[in-house]
Amino acid sequence: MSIVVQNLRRTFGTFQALRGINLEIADHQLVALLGPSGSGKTTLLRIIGGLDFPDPGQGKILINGEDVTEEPAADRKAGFVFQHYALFNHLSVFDNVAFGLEVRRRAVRPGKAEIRDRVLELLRLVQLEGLEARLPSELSGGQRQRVALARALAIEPKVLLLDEPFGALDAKVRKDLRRWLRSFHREIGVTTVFVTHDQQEALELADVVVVMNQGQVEQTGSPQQVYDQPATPFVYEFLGDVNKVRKPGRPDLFYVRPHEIRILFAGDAEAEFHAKIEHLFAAGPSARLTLRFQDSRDTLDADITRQQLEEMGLSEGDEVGLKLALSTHG
Amino acid sequence: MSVQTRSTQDPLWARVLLIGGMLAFLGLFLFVPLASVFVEAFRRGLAVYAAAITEENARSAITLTLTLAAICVPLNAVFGVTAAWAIAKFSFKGKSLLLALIDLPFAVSPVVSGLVYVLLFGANGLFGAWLQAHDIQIIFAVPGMALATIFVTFPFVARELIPLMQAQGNDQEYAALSLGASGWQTFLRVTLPNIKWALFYGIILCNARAMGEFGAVSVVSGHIRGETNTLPLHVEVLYNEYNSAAAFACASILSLLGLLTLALKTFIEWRAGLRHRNP
Repeated sequence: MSIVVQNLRRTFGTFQALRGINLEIADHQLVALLGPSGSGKTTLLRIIGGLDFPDPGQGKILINGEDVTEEPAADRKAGFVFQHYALFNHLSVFDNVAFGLEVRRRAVRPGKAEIRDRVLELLRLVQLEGLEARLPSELSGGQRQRVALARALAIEPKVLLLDEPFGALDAKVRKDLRRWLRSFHREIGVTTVFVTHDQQEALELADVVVVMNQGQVEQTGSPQQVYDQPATPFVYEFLGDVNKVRKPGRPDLFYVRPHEIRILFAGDAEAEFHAKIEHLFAAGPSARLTLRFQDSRDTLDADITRQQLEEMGLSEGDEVGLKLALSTHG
Repeated sequence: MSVQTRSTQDPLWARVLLIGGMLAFLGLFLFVPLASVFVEAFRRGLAVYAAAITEENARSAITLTLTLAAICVPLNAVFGVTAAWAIAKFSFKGKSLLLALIDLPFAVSPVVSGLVYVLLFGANGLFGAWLQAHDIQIIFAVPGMALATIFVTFPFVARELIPLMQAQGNDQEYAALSLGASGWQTFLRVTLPNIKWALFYGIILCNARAMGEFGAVSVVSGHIRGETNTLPLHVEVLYNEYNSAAAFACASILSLLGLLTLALKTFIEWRAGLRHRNP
């Protein structure tokens, strides 16, 4: 279901965690809230889930067009997955997943057999069949994550909210689970918002990336939009590698990504600037050059293909010409 | 692991000296006195012992002690859980003041704790006249003794729970709420199971103190034999009357309660330890 956030503000003491957030998330989307720590992304997620509330009168949350700003978490039906899973340690995997059904009022609580079917179905969905009798302590990190997901899905949530879903996992599991979550989301289609500080994760996984900084939304767009057309210097710097340099002899700053720099022979007529290769690092399909402008202390990084490196026969200390595929900011 | 143990091991003579010294100290100051209680209690034979603990005043002292524990321990369990819940799970103004207040009974002498209630509810106390007019007896009666015992034993449960609940954080409670549980369901199904062993432990310590408390209860009891004497007070009365066989017989019951508490405590620590290793 759709989520709309209007003019949301949240203050903790004197700290303004959220300063007027506006956001529209369409049904079925997979959305990343991306930002550095302290940017307010987790606070926003908790407020959407009803675990925290905006300053009185400061903003609204609409889920499926309905104002839920004042609605407590228990009534909101937002499936929440916590960073450290927050599984109930004393309950088995089965009872963890069944929790949301067991606590329902008698009138709307499914029968024992139905609960059993639903839980086993969910465990199959998250590929944990056969583990229902285990305790959370007997599971790996990735398995716990999926129990938390199944538990959140058991209440048939209107929206699914994930706080740093891969934060506590090691790199390998992280990658696998990321891919799995992508196809999983396609399968179940629930509007999903996840918080992350990892740009790679956001770009790879999300339909829409919301870049946040200091309690504000810097930019909202598809991964390609926010990467290729950053709206602000912050987005430029936060998403992917970027050089922030002063052109020789001029005061204005500009941003350029390492792959947007064309390396030419020093004598090439197209060359806009000249620089010296200070360091060269070649591993994998591309090579990274650290370049220093003539008569300047600024350095910048450039990526070129291994093929080009070999064809041009470049090595450290060589002088080269540069042409920048520029999108300037600042 | 074994390397580390070896590198931190002291020479044999030092170990023998330290362990031996400690055992001698424990024996002299803890075991011998405890053993002597039982030796003294049975010195004049089983018949005297049985008579001493089944005598009317002794029976009433035992009943009163158990009654006080039955009143105070459940109340303090509830108070302690409530206070620990408030302190660990919420942030509010005056939180550190509340923490300090919880420790107050540990900080002041039990005699003072008793005296406070005499000053409040005694004949010449703040509410004394009003209480007398309405024919309500608090001091020199069970209500006053219960109040003093509650005061003295208040910190045990709360102190046991606060660090644990603080360490556990709120995430599981939040998870329960987001799954649709009410506050009460969250407490019963999530919070309580998580603090179960610490709560038992706190209750046992609270119970031990409630049964053994002397100072505070002594001030408010009035020492009416067969009516307001608890077991510890009864022991003192007997001892002051040079009836040492009966005094030690009753003391042995208190000691047994203490040993039982220790056994329970050890069992709970063992269970909690099992859970900790394999939670």
